[in-house]
Amino acid sequence: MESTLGTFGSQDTSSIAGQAAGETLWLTIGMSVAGALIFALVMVFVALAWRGRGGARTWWIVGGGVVFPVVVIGALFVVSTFVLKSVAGPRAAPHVIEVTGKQFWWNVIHDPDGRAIRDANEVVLPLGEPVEIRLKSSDVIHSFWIPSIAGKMDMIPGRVNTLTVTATREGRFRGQCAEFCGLAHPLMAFEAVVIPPDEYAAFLADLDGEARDAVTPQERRGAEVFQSSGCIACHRVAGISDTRIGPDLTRVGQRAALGAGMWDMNTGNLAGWIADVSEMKPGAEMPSYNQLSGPDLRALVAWLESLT
Amino acid sequence: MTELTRQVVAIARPGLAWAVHFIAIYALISGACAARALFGYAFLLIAGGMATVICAGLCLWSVAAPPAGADLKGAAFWSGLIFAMAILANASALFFFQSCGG
Amino acid sequence: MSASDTKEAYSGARKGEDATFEDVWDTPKGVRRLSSVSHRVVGRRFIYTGFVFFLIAGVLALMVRTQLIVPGNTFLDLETYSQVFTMHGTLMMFLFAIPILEGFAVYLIPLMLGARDLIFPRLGQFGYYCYLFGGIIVLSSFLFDAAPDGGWFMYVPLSTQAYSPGLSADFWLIGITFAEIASVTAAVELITAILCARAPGMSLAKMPVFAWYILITAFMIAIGFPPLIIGSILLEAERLLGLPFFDPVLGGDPLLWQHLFWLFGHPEVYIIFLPAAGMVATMLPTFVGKPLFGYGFAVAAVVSMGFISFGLWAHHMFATGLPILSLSLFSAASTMVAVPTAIQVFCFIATLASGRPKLTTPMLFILGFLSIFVLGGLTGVMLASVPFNFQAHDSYFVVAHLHYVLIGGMVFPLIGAFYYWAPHFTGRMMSERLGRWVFGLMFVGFNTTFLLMHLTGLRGMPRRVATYAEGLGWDRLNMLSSIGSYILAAGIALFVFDFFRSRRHGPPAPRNPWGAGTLEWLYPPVAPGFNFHAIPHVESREPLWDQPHLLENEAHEVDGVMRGIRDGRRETLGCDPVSGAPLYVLRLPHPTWLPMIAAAGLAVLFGAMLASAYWLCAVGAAIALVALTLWAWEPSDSGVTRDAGMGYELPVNVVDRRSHMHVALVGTMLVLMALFASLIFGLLYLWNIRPESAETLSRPDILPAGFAVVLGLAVALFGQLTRRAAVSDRFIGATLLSLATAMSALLSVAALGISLLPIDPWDSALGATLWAIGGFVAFVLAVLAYWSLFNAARRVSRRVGPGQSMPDFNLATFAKGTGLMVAVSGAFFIVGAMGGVG
Repeated sequence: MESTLGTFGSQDTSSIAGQAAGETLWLTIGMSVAGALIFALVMVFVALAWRGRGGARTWWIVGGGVVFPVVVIGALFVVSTFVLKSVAGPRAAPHVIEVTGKQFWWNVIHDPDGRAIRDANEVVLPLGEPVEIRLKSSDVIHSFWIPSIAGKMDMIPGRVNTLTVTATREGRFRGQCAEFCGLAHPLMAFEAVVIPPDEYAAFLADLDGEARDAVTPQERRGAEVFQSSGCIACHRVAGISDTRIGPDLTRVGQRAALGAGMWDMNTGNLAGWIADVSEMKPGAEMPSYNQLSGPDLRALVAWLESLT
Repeated sequence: MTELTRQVVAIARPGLAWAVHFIAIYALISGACAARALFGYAFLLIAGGMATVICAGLCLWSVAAPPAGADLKGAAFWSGLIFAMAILANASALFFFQSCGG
Repeated sequence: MSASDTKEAYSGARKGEDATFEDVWDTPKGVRRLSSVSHRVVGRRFIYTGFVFFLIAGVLALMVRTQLIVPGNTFLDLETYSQVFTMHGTLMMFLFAIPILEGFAVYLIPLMLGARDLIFPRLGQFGYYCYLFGGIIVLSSFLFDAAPDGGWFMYVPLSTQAYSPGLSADFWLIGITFAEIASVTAAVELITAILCARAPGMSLAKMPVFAWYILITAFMIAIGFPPLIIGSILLEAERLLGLPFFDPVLGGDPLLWQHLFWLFGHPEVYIIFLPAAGMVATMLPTFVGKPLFGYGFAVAAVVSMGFISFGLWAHHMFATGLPILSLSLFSAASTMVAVPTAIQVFCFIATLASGRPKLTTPMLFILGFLSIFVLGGLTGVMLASVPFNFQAHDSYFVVAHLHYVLIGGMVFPLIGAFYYWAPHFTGRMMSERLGRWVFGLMFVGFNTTFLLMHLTGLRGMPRRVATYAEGLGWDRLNMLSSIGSYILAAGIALFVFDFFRSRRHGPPAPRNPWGAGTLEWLYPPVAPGFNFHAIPHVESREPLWDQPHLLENEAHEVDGVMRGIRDGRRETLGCDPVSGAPLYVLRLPHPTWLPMIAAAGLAVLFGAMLASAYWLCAVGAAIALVALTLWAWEPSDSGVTRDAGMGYELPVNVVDRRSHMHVALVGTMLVLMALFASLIFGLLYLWNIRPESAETLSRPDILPAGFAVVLGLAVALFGQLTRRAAVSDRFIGATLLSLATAMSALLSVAALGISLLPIDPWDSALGATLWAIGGFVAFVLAVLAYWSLFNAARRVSRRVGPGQSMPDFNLATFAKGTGLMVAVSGAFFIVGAMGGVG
């Protein structure tokens, strides 16, 4: 269960990489400052009242209980409505990504109405261009949240929610499931990778093809182990298998994290994952493959790491 | 009715008016914005506006003419005013957005 | 003296003239103490049991904080952690907060209002045992290693059979629903007690403000709990029987559960806050030496909170993809609730300024309440802003906010209340010196724990995670929060120590130790088994301040009504609900085991349901039914008059609209109507959002549905005719009309059932909901039929005499409400049959 997370980007509502998160941050700061001032004011009032010695007046209640709150919340409601219009109002988006929450990972389909390019556990976004994220669930309710980019939106079985986001900064940003979804809910994260728009087109074109061929003998052995040990019963690797039960592994070696945004992608973690997944992520559907021989395991890991 | 009964009615009436108004607005929004799309925004606005005028009126009745007697007169007055404001706030939700979309 | 005044005519109506007042009210000793029905005993049981649940839930909270003290901690595994946080929330919300506040209300309301007991003492005992047994069922899940682990709001589909196999969710649904019976019965009881049993002269306008808070709270429970009860029953039916209420594949919707849950869940927060605020409004004037400033404002604020809090539920669902117009509506409504809240806060502040406040321990807790709750309210206004909510929802910001509101708004006043009313429980004062330490530790610990959580949440930490990665900026904040929680726990531990210490070593409490103005301090606070030898006339909201003669005499010598009645019966004064004018002598029951047996029967029923031993369910239901029948089979007391003293010649248990029995029945109808409305809401909701599913639904039969409407009207009509016949003492007519009421009720069940026959409830959520409506109405009709037959049987067996028509009087009101439900259901079925369903 111990995470070895080291190289991840921020997961912070104040480290801004998206238009919605940016506008909301100003609202947060404004409300926090106003709230702190009001709190201080009321406390000063309590202190003065303590020394009031019989000086209570009805207008305090009218002023402090009615007029003042009405003015403040009226202003807040108007401002907040304009921010709401800006972050959640209808907007045309040139890109569509479909993300389906599953216990306990994320299935990703780029351009679902067109090429339907499959991926998992990493959402790649083009910088500065609005992306409509279609949110679904195939089991229980999850919630899709990348704090640095935008607020959260639930993924509900039987419904399709949409969240339109515009990334404003390149980099890697961490997202996490925000609705309790069962045993491994704390271990259900992902990464949002923001890249320039031209790289995004290239990324999609690359992902659309088949997986990279195995080159070294060890990698070829790994590909054989993958097919002979039952991995293909669940995992898709374009050109090799097309089952869609577990995460798509066509470019797994390119991802920075393992186990739905939880561990750094490196040889040790990957081998540990395959051999002992039920220890690392209790509740994950994948069985532990601790019956693999050492060389087979190393070969499988080497091949998976080569899938970039 | 005794004076006190009238005051109790004047306290409760705005609350009931608020409840009717809230249910009306919620039902209108749900009818217009769910899969069935029972009616459009224009109907929503007209029906919601009418509900608002009537229900706010019922509240302000307690404000304009709180029953005499000192006992709960203040409570009747403020109950009317608070609920009238709450009704206006709920109605204001309709005026900021011209469609269900989001 | 009427002829009916003899022992022969009404055996059991009197218990002899020799018994002294103290004998009549004596609390049974030894094991028989468990059969006590006195509000003093039952109220304290609620309080102590609730506090035990608080301590258990507190230990669970410490386990949560210990797990989160460092990133990647392995103190608890994932499953245990899920169980721990689920049970923490469940125990705190359902088995601590509401029951303990109800316990205080049950204990204090009769004393403050000048009543000798709550007016349905057996119902109080029944409620307590339902709560105790329900709580034990929920807790016992730990023993079976099946503790609920889906979060205290049990979202579907996670809590359905497919994703929570085993019994964990069933423990939650069954145990909590069982325990909720106590909340609902207490609500009906408190509404009636406040409206019907006040001291002479105590009009609504002279009622202590605490009673206003409790009255509104009780109404909120009556309306607010039904959606959750219906939701729980539907979910249990989905788990047990496979009915697809929430299954999107068959036209259901997971969000229906969220709507039903939060329709309860949001008012629940105010149900917890209001009684605690009422305690503040009671204690504060004592320490300032002046009445609450702005009584009218406070009443208006409480009433408007009671209503407006029902219009906010969807702000827990901002991130579920609601239409933007709904977001806007619920955002506006949520900000508006700040107004009545602010009014109350400023009433308290103005009260502080109206006299010379004394810094006692309860006062410290009031100040703690003011500061913490105001901050929690302000973050609440922030959360009402939709875009901010998108970020903060389900993060530690919300965890911080809700603990500020609940601990600041409820726990701090509660601990203050313990210090304040402790003399009532122990006869002794708690320590002022230790009290300051308790407050200091709690205040510092609380703020250390939760103030930082706002920041943790804004830094992106979601709630309900058993572990988190290092280096995300949460490490130090969590460490400090955990340390704070230990300080808070130390404060609570010191409080428990002080409470037990003071039981033996505290200075004995004098009469009215704090110089309070309300009636509960009239007697010296060494808990006796009775209240008020004579019920004094009340002329102000602070009778002990404004009517000095009350404290000048020994308490038992205070002048008042009801002193002279020597029937050997427990009785108190029934009053007009508005003016508080004495109306009748209200006879109260004596200690009995029946309510406990009824609750035990229900415990067997629910326990056997968990164990899938369905024959045992039937046994449990039979035990409960027999106990409830015997309970109701007592001789009627009305039909005589008594001299109550001070010039009042009052009838006993008057047959009237204002009778406590009738007011309670109206309260019960309110609960039933709310249950029915929750089902209708579910029907309309599913119909509205899943039109494609409605189109494929088979249609109800129109003819039987039409019959049902007619039969529903017949039920109401026969009920009303029975009342008229009974009130005018027409013996045979009333008996036959009772039978006709029962018959039309049973025919209504048949008509509704036949109308639904073409619909397969396993086929679609809408069909299942129609069957649920039919089933609910059939249940109410069965109660009605049973009650009608019961009344007829009592009449035939001569258990009721002339002038004793209260059961028939009540049945008419019940029949009208039931008839309305039948007619509305029938009308819905007709609309469905005519194609409106598609």
